[in-house]
Amino acid sequence: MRDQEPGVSTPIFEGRGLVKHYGSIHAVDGIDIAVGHGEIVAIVGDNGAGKSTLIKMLSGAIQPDRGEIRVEGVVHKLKGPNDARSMGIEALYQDLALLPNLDVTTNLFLGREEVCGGVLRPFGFMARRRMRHDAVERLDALQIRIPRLWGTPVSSLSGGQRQSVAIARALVWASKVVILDEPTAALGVAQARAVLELSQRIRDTGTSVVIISHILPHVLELADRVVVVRHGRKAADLAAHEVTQDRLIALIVGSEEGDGYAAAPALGEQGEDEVPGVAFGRAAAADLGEG
Amino acid sequence: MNILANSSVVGIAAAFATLVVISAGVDLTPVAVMTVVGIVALHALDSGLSVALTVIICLGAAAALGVINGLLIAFVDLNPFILTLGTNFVFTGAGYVVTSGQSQLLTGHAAQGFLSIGDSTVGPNVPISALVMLAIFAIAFAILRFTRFGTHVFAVGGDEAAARLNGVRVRRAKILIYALAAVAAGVAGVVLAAQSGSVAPYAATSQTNLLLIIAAVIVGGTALTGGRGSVVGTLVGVLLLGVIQDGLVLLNIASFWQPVVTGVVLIAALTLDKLQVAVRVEA
Repeated sequence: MRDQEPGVSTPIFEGRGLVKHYGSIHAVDGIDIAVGHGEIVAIVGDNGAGKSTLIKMLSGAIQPDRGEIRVEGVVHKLKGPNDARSMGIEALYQDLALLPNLDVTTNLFLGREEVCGGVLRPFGFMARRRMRHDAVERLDALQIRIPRLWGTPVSSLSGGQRQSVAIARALVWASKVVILDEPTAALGVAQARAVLELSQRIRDTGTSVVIISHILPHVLELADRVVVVRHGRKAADLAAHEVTQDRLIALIVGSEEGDGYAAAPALGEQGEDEVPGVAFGRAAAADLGEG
Repeated sequence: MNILANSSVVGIAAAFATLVVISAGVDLTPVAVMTVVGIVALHALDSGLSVALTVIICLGAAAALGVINGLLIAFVDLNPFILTLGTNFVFTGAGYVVTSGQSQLLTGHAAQGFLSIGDSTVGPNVPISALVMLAIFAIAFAILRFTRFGTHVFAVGGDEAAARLNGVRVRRAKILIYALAAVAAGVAGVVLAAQSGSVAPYAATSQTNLLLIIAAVIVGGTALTGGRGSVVGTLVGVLLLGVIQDGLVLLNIASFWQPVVTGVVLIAALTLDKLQVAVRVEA
């Protein structure tokens, strides 16, 4: 049993024994992960460690071969992203977030367009004015500022603005958990900072956050808990204030074993990650310098 | 009015072919659907059904063919070009099999009412076929512009994987897109059969109308790559091609020049569109 904060009973969101194989590749090989109410959990790991597969299972984008997902203690089978959404779990995916040819408001409401009442309702006529009004209101509430909410496709926005829209989309709808896969990857320093502050604001409203990031200083600053994934298994699950950046890198590349969570087979595979380990260390250092 | 009436068969099908192309698909079956619909109309009228019932059965048959296209594209995940190339052969061939390749005249009492769809006018000499075309365009416009489904057509055409992750039911959208395109082709088939007064399976073998339908959509500014386009643009494309057709006749130029001019206009329109996009990207 993992440590829990006093007073926190059932985690709001939980994956147990999640397994996903692609042919002979074990992308995720039995991971338990729990997210408490209003907690920010960071998932870190080297490229190909299984982070993205893990969060795609949590958000319903792919279905696990084995294992279960619990929302507030109740087992749910997520057949697609809509199942997760209907329970207040939103995800921001790394590169497939937005439709480039649609405007901001349409992107925000895609898949959950508001339909107008009356005789036009059965034909799925949209309440466009209401959606525009809602878009302005909801983005204001999150203090997200994006020019031109309608009329121009998001492909005409800058990279940073596009990412803000994508993040806004996830944040606007998440009532329980928001899952962010590399939300700061394409952003400059100031924009990345804004995203982190946004995540904290979201957490302060009671929504839990699961975040994948390569930028370890951000992770340590932002997260309450850090889950290290290596070779599709959980290598460590630590309180963020207990861990240093060096220790985190060591856990990520596998030069240090975690506190009992690491699975035996990972030991035998240690030699393989020397090269990506080096690359990762360099990337982390570069990020540090930038910050 | 003449232009509208002459363009109505191509126009009716092109209105909904626009949705198919915006969804990054293509439907090569409209002419085959028109032929099948003509044969269905012939048999329905021969067995003494009323005009209204005949039209309903025709559109039902067209919808069934469209659902076949849609299901195969959505679930077998075949490229729409290849898939509808195949079903185009199948539907056209079925027309030959059923009629033994013979053309037949629409005759009899009920047929007179049916034929009036093709040649009667209302008010100050407005052909019914032109009104049908404008109504179909209005419906296509409203669907694309104002409904959830219309938004999803753009989403599927913009980035199918992203649309799916964003909660768009991509398969359902695709089935509906091809079903609607086939129903529109069915309406065009009814108008065509009523205008010509006969049903000829070999009419489908010449795919001139198919090429005009696609040309109208493309001239109208809809991107073959999907995600961008408009029904109004297609209407302009249909009228432009119609004007070329009538204009050449009025100028006393041999009709053999018509495909040449159409082709030049198509290429010119695409070139202009490309320049416009380039300017927009730079801006």
